[in-house]
Amino acid sequence: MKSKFLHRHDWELLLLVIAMLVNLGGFLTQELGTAPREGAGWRRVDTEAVQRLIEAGDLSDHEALWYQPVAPSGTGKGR
Amino acid sequence: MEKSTALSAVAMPRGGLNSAVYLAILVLGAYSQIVQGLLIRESLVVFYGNEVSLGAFYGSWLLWITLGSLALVWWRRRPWVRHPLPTLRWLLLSLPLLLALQIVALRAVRLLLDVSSTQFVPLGQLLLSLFLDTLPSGLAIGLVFPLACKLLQPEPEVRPPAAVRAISWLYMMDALGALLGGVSFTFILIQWFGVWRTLGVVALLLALVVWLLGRQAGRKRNWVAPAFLALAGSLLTATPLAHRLGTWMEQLRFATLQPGLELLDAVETRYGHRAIARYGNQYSLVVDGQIAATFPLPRATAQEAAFFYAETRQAKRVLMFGGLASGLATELLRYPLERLDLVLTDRRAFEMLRPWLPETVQKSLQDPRLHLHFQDGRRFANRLSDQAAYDLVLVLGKTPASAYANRYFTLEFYQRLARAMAPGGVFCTRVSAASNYLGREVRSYAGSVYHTLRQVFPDVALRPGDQVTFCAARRSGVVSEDPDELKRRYLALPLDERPFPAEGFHSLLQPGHVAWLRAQLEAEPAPIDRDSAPVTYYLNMLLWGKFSASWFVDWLQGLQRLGPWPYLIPLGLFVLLWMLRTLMEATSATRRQQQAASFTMVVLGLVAMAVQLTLLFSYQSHVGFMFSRIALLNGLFMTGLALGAGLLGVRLARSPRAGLWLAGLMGLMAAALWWLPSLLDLVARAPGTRQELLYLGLCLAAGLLTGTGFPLGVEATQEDTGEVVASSGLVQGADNLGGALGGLLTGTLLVPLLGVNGTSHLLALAALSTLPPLLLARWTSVEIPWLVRRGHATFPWRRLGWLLLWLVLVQYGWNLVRWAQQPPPLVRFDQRLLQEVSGSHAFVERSRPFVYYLGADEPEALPQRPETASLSTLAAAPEVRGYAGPINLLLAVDRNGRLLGVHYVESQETPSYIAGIEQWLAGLAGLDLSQQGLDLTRVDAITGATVTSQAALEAINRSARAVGQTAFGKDFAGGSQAARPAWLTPKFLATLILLLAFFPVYLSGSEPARLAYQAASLLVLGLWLNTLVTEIDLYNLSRGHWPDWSANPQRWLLLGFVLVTGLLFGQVWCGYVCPFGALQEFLSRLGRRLGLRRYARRPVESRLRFLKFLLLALALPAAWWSGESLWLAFDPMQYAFAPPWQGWAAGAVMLALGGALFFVRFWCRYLCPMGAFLALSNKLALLQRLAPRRRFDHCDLGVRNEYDIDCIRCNRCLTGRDYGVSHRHKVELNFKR
Repeated sequence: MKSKFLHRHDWELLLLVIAMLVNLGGFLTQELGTAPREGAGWRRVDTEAVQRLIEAGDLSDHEALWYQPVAPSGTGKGR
Repeated sequence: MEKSTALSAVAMPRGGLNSAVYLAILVLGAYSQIVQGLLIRESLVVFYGNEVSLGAFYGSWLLWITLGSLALVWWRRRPWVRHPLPTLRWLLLSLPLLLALQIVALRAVRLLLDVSSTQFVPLGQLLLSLFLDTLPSGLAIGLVFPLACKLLQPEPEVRPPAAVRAISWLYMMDALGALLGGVSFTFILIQWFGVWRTLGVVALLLALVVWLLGRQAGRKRNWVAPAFLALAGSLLTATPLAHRLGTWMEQLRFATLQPGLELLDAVETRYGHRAIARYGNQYSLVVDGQIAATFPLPRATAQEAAFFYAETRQAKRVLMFGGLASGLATELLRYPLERLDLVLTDRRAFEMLRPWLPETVQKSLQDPRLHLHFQDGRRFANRLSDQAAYDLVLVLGKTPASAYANRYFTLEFYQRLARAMAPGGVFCTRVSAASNYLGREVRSYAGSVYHTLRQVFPDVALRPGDQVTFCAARRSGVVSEDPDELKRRYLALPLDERPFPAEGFHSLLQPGHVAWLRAQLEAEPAPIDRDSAPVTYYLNMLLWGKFSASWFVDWLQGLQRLGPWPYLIPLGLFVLLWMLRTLMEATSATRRQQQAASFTMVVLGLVAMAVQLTLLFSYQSHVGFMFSRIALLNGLFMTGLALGAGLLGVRLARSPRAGLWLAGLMGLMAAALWWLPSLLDLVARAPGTRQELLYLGLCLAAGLLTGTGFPLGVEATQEDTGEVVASSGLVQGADNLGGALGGLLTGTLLVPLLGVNGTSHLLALAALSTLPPLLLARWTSVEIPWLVRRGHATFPWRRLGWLLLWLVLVQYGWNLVRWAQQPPPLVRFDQRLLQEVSGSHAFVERSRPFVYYLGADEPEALPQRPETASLSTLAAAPEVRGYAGPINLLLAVDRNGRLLGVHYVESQETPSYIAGIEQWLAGLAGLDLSQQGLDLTRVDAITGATVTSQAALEAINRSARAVGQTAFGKDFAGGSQAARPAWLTPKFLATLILLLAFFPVYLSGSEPARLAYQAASLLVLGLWLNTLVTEIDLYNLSRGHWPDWSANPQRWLLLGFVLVTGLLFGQVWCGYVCPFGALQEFLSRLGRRLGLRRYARRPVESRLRFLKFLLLALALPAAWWSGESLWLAFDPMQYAFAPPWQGWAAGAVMLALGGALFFVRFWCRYLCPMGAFLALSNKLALLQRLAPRRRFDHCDLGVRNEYDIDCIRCNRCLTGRDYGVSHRHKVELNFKR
């Protein structure tokens, strides 16, 4: 469209439509961003529960704490 | 694959120049095959042999050729096109350099993409890198062919009678070049010259062609540039430069594949790239970029040999496929064998590896029991005698990560080997897995091997680990998972030395671990791997995606479940809409024929490329060395194309019924494609060389068939076009575009997801889809007045409108198929959730008459003395529907009828309406259902969600009633207060009266009656009941979710009204009944009285009215794909009658209503998606003639036609008042038909 076809009323309509579209965009962003959905969003870890398990000894905060050294045995040669 | 634009008008050959041009096309045809062969081989190496790269390559290659052709059409007036010789010479000179750069870029692609060694290149990056790498040569070739044809064309552009013969010559030259290039590359150049010397030969040939072209054109000093190129070519061909360059490039590539390893030697075999590398004292055999074996690993090898031998009954005859490098064959020779047959695929690879083998392995090669066979493993297996009687067969070095390797994991392979084994023989194989976790993809992979094995060997023993090992036998009791048994067998062997400690069997086979693995593999419904339907394509894509963290793995799995529908739906809808548009717009016969033929050319190109790729995949599956034969297979296909076009197609094109011949050919092609899988099965059974020859013949035949169609299509599209370069360029563009699409789709989606059989059938249907347009075009007189009347175009963007319609319908079709695949509702639950809802600790599941759980605190009490019963509302009361369908709740009752708890599972209700449902349900716990059910007199509804609340309560009542009878023999929830039937409520009655009153008001055409009716609608439906028909209803209906008739008959009434009146009269809901529309109408009238009324000029105004269709086309599919109806919740009419408004919602309402003061029905006219949908009914309006006749010259909103899509049927034009006709500007918009 060439600008010579745009009169004052054309601009008014255009601006009104643009304003409405911006508003609709804001509405969708707000609604879809906060729509409750089970399982959506970041996983929340209950760190306090984890700490309680560690303190109770049910969970280890050390790597390899549960491994015990194994006594070396024969190679089985000749058996 | 490319097609020459020799279809342009050409003159009779005129002397030396034309001969030079023919030679140029011959060399170019050969060059094209060489380029394809080289680049495909390179991509297979850097992308670990993944054949998906084939589809990506061909798709990109043809796309660039298409763009090159179309660019030439775009620039056809430019001087360098009108006088093409200089441009042509420079392009030809640049081709060798471009090829060199492309090879270097591909070899360094992992470096450029920053992909570390052993990491899979993400599929998206694989596609992108091939897309960019094919650009230079593809674009250049796309430009060169039309330029060469232009060179033969005299001025002015006319078609002499001898043009057809000259066209044939061009095809022949192109085909001959392709064939020569394919054959010479396959058997001479790549084998004896290698990559860089081949490049040198190409440079020499092109230099010669360029010189000849210049000389014939009489150009002075035309020898300079060709001389430089010839010099470069000579240096590469005849000096050690090529060898040094090749070594340096090999090192570069290897450094990106396996950095840190020292490359010792490399060779390209017919199967792929093989290299030997070293790190410290460890040697590795690298196959197509991946480490296949590392040696020496004496302890691991000793363990493997002990394990496999212990699984047998003292095997005497052993067959191994690979395993020399790892030392396993040598280790097995320690055992009391009589014979060990070792199959190695390629002697060259063996010779490369031999010097680096450990001394023990080298010595074992002299063992008389060891027999080496240098042959493809499948071919060797096919030739085995049934009396071979092997006791142990090992296939260990393979991973089904490519079609080539997958051949060792198919049902047919196992069946063949089983016949060559002794009755108590054992077959062992393995696949990569994980020691303690099997993800979905790995489980499918291993599960496929497991289930396929069991089809042939019923008894399969498993050994878990980073690789899952399968040992299988036809007899039971042969293979064992018992470590004690294996230890006993091992210790009973007469061995001088036992390097593997017998106790080690216990760590290899931990019972719990084995049982866990078996449960995982048994539970997985994995497909059977067959030669004709290799599962590797699909499963490997999944694994590849997983390992490279590609995002679309889930999408791919979803697509696989949908079968052929995602491809058939767009195609079918396109054909239907094209036919509808043609009939509605009364397209001229010529145009119809051109469009039908153009569409056919695209499909033909697509099918041709798809068939070629399908044959390549099948060849790789059955024969295995596509790596070395790719150029030959391509060349034969190209030859077939040119022969078909030059010999048969051109003759048929002279017939006046070219269109019918084309239709017949497509029908024949469809039949051939449908039977192709059966034919490939027959070919698969043919012995060795004959099988390969049959494949070569198939490629030639496929090319012949598709090539015949091209001249026919060109003939149909060229009529009445003055510019032959333009039309031939467009035809080539359509053909190559179809080819690009076919290549990309087939290689990346169709074959992996549908298999070869499914792909062939789909292509057959695609070929058939061209018949309706061709036949419609043939019957030029077809015209349906009923449709023609409705063909009026309101907006300037006809094509965009039809495109939007097609896009929306395609997405709807896709979603329909997707929804149909969705799993059934959840009615089974785990112990934790049942415990949480019911409070019991032990449960027993019952499935009749519906799924429910009996619960008690102690397991001993079940099932005779249950204390609680738990079930899903969908199990016992699926007929209860809320606003948008059934609501799934998990509830528990005790034997006294007390509701113990209710848990929300899932529903389709609008999420914002049921945001607090979990808390609401928690509040129901403890209520007594023994005497009376739940209803809104006992329980408050969720705010703003009465219908949902009622439905939930009713579902709970019915479920409690059902489970009370079934589990406890008692009546629960029996006496809920009888509510008044919904159709006797004032709400329903008022709506009924209002809607019935519509008909006399509308048919009268009276303006006062209309205004009064609108006021009544505003009051009743808007302000009182807040009941409108909105986009949410549209979404729900499209999902098949409808409200419960008995609970919500008013909505049924409204929806039925809209449907019926739309069919009969068009968009009358908007013009008469919609309360939001009525509100805007009144505001518009007020605005006129206040002097605020505006009218925009028609060009702006009419374009803006298209916005609402665009909004609908965007928002509706977004809601379908996301499952979130909120995408459609932006319409202010959904909340205009439920104040207070907040935030953006308030802004939308105010803008809509405020806008109505200035512009008539602002929201309705420009932005209402529901109005856009209802506007489609204006094209039906079956009983419109019964309505008062509209006066279009009195419409201030531009409606000018009986079936104008944008007439909201307000009927203001009838009274001739208040439309501001005097405000209408003189400028009218003329739309080109």
